[in-house]
Amino acid sequence: MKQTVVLAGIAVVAFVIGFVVGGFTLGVGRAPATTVTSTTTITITVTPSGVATLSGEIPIGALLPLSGSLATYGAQCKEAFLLAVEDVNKWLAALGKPWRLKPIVEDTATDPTTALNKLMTLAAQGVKVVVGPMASSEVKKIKSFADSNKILVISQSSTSMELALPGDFIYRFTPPDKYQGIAIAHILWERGVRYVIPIWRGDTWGDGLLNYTKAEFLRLCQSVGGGNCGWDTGIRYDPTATVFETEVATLARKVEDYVNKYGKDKVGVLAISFEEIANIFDQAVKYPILAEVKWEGSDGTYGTAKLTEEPRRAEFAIKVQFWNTMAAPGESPLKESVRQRLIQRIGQEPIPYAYFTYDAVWAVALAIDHVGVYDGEAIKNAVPLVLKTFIGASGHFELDENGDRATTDYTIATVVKTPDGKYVWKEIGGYIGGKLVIYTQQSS
Amino acid sequence: MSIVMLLSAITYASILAIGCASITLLYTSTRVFNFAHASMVSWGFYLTFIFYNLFGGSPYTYMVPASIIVGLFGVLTYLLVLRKLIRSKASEITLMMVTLGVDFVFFGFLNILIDYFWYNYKWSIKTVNIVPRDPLLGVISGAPITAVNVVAPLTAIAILMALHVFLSRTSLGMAMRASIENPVLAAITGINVDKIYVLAWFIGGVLAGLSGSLLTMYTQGYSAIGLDYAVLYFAGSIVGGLYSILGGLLGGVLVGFSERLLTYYLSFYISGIYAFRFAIPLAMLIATLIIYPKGLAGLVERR
Amino acid sequence: MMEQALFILINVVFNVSIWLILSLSLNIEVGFANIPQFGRLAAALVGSLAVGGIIGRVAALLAGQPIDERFVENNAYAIMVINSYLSQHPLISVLLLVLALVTSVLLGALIGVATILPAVRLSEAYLGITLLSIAEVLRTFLYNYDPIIGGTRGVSVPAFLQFLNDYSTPVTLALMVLMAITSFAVAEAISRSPLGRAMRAIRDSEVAAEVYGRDVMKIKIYAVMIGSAMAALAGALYTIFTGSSYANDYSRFTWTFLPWAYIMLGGVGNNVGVSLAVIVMSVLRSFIQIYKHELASHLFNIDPSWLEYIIIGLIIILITLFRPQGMLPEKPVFTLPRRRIEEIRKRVLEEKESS
Repeated sequence: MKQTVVLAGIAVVAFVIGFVVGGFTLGVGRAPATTVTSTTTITITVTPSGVATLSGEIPIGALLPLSGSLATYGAQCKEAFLLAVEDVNKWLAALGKPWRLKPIVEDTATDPTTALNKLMTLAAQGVKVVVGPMASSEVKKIKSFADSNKILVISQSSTSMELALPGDFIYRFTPPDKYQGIAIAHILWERGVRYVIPIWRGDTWGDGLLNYTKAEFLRLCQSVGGGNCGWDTGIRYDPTATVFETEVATLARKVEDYVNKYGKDKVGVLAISFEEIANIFDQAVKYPILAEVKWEGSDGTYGTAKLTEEPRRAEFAIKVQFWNTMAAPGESPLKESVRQRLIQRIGQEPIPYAYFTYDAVWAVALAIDHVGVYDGEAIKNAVPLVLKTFIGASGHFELDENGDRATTDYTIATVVKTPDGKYVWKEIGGYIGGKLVIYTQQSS
Repeated sequence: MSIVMLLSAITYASILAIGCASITLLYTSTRVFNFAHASMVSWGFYLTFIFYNLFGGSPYTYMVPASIIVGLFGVLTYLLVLRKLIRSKASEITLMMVTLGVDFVFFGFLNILIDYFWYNYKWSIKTVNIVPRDPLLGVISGAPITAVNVVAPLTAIAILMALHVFLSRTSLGMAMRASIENPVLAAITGINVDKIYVLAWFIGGVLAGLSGSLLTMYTQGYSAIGLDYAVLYFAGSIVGGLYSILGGLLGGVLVGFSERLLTYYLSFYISGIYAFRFAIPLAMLIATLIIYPKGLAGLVERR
Repeated sequence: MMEQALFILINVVFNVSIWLILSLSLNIEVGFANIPQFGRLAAALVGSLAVGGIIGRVAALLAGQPIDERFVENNAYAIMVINSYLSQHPLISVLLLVLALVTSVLLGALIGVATILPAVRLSEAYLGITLLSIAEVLRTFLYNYDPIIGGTRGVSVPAFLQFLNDYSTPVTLALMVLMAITSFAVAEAISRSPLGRAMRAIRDSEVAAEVYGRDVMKIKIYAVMIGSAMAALAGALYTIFTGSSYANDYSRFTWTFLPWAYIMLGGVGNNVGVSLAVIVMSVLRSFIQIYKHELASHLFNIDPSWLEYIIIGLIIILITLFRPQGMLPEKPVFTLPRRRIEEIRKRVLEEKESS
């Protein structure tokens, strides 16, 4: 009996080795030809092939969180994506081009595993360029597959610094979190917060943004002598969690400690979260102490409908002055028209990521038109060149060496109550050119 | 001491206990370890939400119709699927697997129903969260008490008493106990065992649905909420011993408390422990089984 | 559209080979030895850990990257450097790949033994639930505990075959097919071996097997050990192909219940039947996923993935009710195939005649 087990084991190993020897000989034969492309610097090979091989429908994919913890953003970006495809197709028709974009939208449920499965099925439908996914955790999960199968991924909202890498098949039309971290740290500081207790989503995005914010805040702290300021270890939570009782109870305990020691004006809570902020607020309203301090958010909670649709949460957001940052779209003559049409479709003020989505589709379409083939690598190489003269709904921008949007301005929004008793998100200022700018209060 | 945490843990434990009672009841009566429990809970959760969204009013009103519908699911499961297998003395594993099939069918239909409202009426139904709509009843030293904090424990106690009275005082209940304890003898004495099993599956379904229905006011959920909590329900009923409904209730309470309160207090000493909160009840389950293979109730019986 | 065809093939081959290995491994435990293995995902997860957590770090060491918490924190960067190193060292890449598969198989066998040892005395439902819970604990733990495979962030895995450039995906697929065929051969070999017959004897009657002097516990442990080693291989291949190791990939539905449904459909205990069921169902699944939108427009906009659940559920129910033996019922296994025996007989006769 033992022998059988051993034999079975040997059989497995033998097969592995057998295959590998085969694979190895194949590999050695090919090795000299492949070493060239392995370095991170890429020689750009944009060859606008003279023969126009493009015709018919070209499938372009969108991996969007239509459900799950970024569903509000997913819904907005889906409309922006479809709007852009319509606009591109009208433009192509007017130019008499023989090809059109065919949009295929897939729901990732804000879940990395689902995002990868959906990317694989998109590839089987002939897709070579994908807009999205939105969460950095999803982008990280699909990166290997996209890289090795040469599928260009353009995320409109992934900001994690971990993914700021040169030479891969990931472009990000939003600036990475190094800049947002700086912005948030300065905003906290300017708001008079000296002791920060963070509560954050423990994934690629949350961990990264937290670390950059913390580093900048501590730097600020050191620059004034380092005495009367600090950063708590805080609370890191499971990204799939929907129940936050223990986390918020712990947060309340910590906040109470700090308030007792330093006074409520100097204490702030930094919530780096997606839509689960709603659940966090649902628990937070139970602790009066948490309404006494200032709260700060991030691009994960900017403009989320979850806070405005429930009065209890909206009131809490107003009470704690829940400020949220998101990469600001630049000035653009096109913005207003896109904005109006988006408002028509989604019934609310679009978030910046909706504009970035719109621009991603256009940049891809222009790149396809330039290179004349539907090929992931060619489009990837063409996009940065297209952007040099590109003005989109979010203005003119270029990509840095990592393929990320090279802008550093942020807009700030918070929840306000309108005179007719409704709760809406309102832009109240920005972190522009390294300075906090607060718009003067209009009589509303 | 956090009163908020205590209240919440009591509520949560009560909701779990009701579901655990369902699993225990079905296992003791028909030897079926019900995997379809997961989707039954989800159905209870969503039916409550859908009724509430359609007709308005208090969500608590819809606890009754939602759980009765899930109860009927239980009856259907028994009549269409399990009756034949139980009669042909199928093994426990076969029975378990077949309820897993039932679970997938329920889950598929639930999602189709959800999609129906999502596509056609644009409801935000993929994730449901009506916790903030739960009315506030009062405040104890700064901690707000919402209706579910009172309703859930009361329901759990009411069910415990009702089941006790039913099983020990009514003739139908006595017949049920008889057919649970010795089905052959019960059949000889003229008890219609089949009818009793139908009743057991109805009650089991109602309890699962009720547990899901109460979750609507307690937490956010999506179509797989039952699946996520299923392991905890299993843990509760197994820790409780799977042999008495009271044991199931107690097991549920124990699991609920350990998951919430224990993690909270441990988090004072071990930061970040709350991420592992699901592992605690499961570790309890494994430990229970390995030390006392018949569960805690077995321990009590032996003494 | 050659390339689209390739990607359709990728989907189909990926789904078939991974779930074939998984189902065959489950068949050894459930079909041969009657162990209610509801914790299949545990072994697959450990297989993934072997690739992402262990071999990934070995590669990091070779490429001069850190293997401590920085390996997790700057994972994408570390993997980029590793990949560029590996693409210049084909020999090392291949060795690492072999090492990854071997480690996963060994670790899988180990976790199999570790989960079954404390629970082996439990009966039916209790054993099933215990195995399920152990698997869930393991998954929850690895999902929240950063230092091994990055917890909630996961870790990327080196692209071992990147030196093959454009051929890396086809070769990975070929490797998966090869591993699936190997697993089938191993499963068949076990089925025909004395060990396989001992497992069946235990399944059919534990008491009888014990009376005949079989060490029931030991044989059960062997069954779980072999099954888990195989399942770990499936997890490792999944990890290598998708390029990342992430605990929440290993959900109860896809990694435990789906293989269960397949073996029930195919015929518990029958490797050929199980393989047939996996091929039919996985091809179906792949095409449902790819042509989802086209299908949905014919189905009143119902998302076909929900129909998938209903179909699989109904298959389980109907098979259990009306054809418990599955598509292909288990046949008694002869030590030598009949054809072979007849051949020998013929040869013997011929020899006799000629002499």
